Amino acid sequence: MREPSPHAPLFGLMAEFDQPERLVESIGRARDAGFLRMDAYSPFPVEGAAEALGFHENYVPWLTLAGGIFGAALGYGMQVYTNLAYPIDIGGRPLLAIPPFMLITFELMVLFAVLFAIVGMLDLNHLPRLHHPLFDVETFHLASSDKFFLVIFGDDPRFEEAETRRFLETLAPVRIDAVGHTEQPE
Amino acid sequence: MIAPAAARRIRRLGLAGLLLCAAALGVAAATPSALAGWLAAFVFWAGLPIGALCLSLMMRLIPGAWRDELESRANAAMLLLPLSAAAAVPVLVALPALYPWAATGGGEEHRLYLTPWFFILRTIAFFACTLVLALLLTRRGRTAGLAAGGLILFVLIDTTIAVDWLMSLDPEFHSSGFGLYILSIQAATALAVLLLGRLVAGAPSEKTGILGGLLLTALLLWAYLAFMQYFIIWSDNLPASVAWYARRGDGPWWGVELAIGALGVGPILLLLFPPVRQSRGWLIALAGATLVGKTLETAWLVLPGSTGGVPALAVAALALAGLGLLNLSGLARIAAAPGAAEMRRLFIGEGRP
Repeated sequence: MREPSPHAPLFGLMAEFDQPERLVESIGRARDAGFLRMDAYSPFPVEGAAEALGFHENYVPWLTLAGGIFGAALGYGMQVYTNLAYPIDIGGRPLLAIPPFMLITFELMVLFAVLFAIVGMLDLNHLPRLHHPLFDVETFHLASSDKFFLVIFGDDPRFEEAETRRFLETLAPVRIDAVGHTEQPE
Repeated sequence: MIAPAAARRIRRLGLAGLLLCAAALGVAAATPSALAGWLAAFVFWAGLPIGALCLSLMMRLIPGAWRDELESRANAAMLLLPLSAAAAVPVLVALPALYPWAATGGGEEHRLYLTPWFFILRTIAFFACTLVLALLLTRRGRTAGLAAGGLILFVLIDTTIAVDWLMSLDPEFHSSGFGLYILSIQAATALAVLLLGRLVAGAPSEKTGILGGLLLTALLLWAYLAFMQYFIIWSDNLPASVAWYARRGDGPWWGVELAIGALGVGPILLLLFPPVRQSRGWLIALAGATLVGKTLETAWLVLPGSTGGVPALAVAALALAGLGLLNLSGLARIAAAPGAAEMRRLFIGEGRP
């Protein structure tokens, strides 16, 4: 999910949980309460969390397909071009010899499918980046060990700091933190 | 136990299969060169138990959802081996009608290897080894050691017998990848049959995508091996091997060649898309297309080199249908046996308790 731009008054409110089940349950209750823009962080993939968040993006597989088609066309076209531009008779084989062209076509198809997938994944995640507003929260590093975090973004149409904080308290989290925007360039 | 009505239907299926096979052999007896059609049908349907044995061996080494979905069916299908062995008998009896080296005595370099008695011995040894392997697997269940050793032995003997049954039809044709290419056809055939059985029985909830992925893998393997053999022969450009492909791209066989390619590459492209991979209807259609493609491919491997002509095509059609019905009724009979105990009684007699 796209994170809020710096124009929102606050980046968001973050609730910390110590059980993966509590995280999934809380996502469900937040969505029931009408919140739309939120994200979750966990040390390992939590089953059901993506579904609960309503995450169903499939840009990466399509990018992979596009990369594959682009690479295959590039590989084939490159060989057609070089053979036509520099014609050499090799044992009487046709200038445009399709069977051996397939090897380079295949290699470049795989190369570009993988490159598109990796670069696309990084770009969709806004990576690499040096800093993230969530890093200002003191306990957030525990998202890499044993804590589970739910953030309701500040640009959610229903977001109102005091009220949203009260709602998060009903989920009985370990703690709640307000997350501000970073001042440094990201 | 099995309902009497169903048992009757299975028996009728088997009987119809037997009649079709008898008709095919009748035609072949009148025109011996038409036996090539029988060879094509035999090799295609032998691919089912042979491929199932290969998959069953792999399932014992590679756990996962595919094992839960397909293991019982693979174990049943590999027990069809005796039926394939029986279908090999007409081929072994009439070797000179099929193989030029058997008719003329072969060239100097084939004098020892390509002789009728040695060929027959190898086929018998192949079926003996695979059958023993299948029975050991049925008795011992999931033994990793047996499966690992069995898989090594299996690949060696299966690629050897592929050279015998198919490559030696043209003693001048050499391709070192041929055995693996045939193995990929057998594995795809068996997988398509297992998938059809599994999917017709009902949708496997969330695991349909895994089954689609399996079919995609089998077809990709086939495409790789089929293309590599072609590519290497194309690059070598040696007369004997090129002639082998030229005969198979001649006249109407050119159309068959295109159909084989389309029925292989089409499903591969479609299976790239998750909605297709996860849909029961699509998978049934694509597994069916795979079976049709592999049937055509086996005919394309056997018939263009033979002198059988139209009678051979008729024999192939009759025998494909007949052996297919026999295999189907055999599968139904094995599947109707509830549990391993019954399977043992059916196929091994009263073995160990």
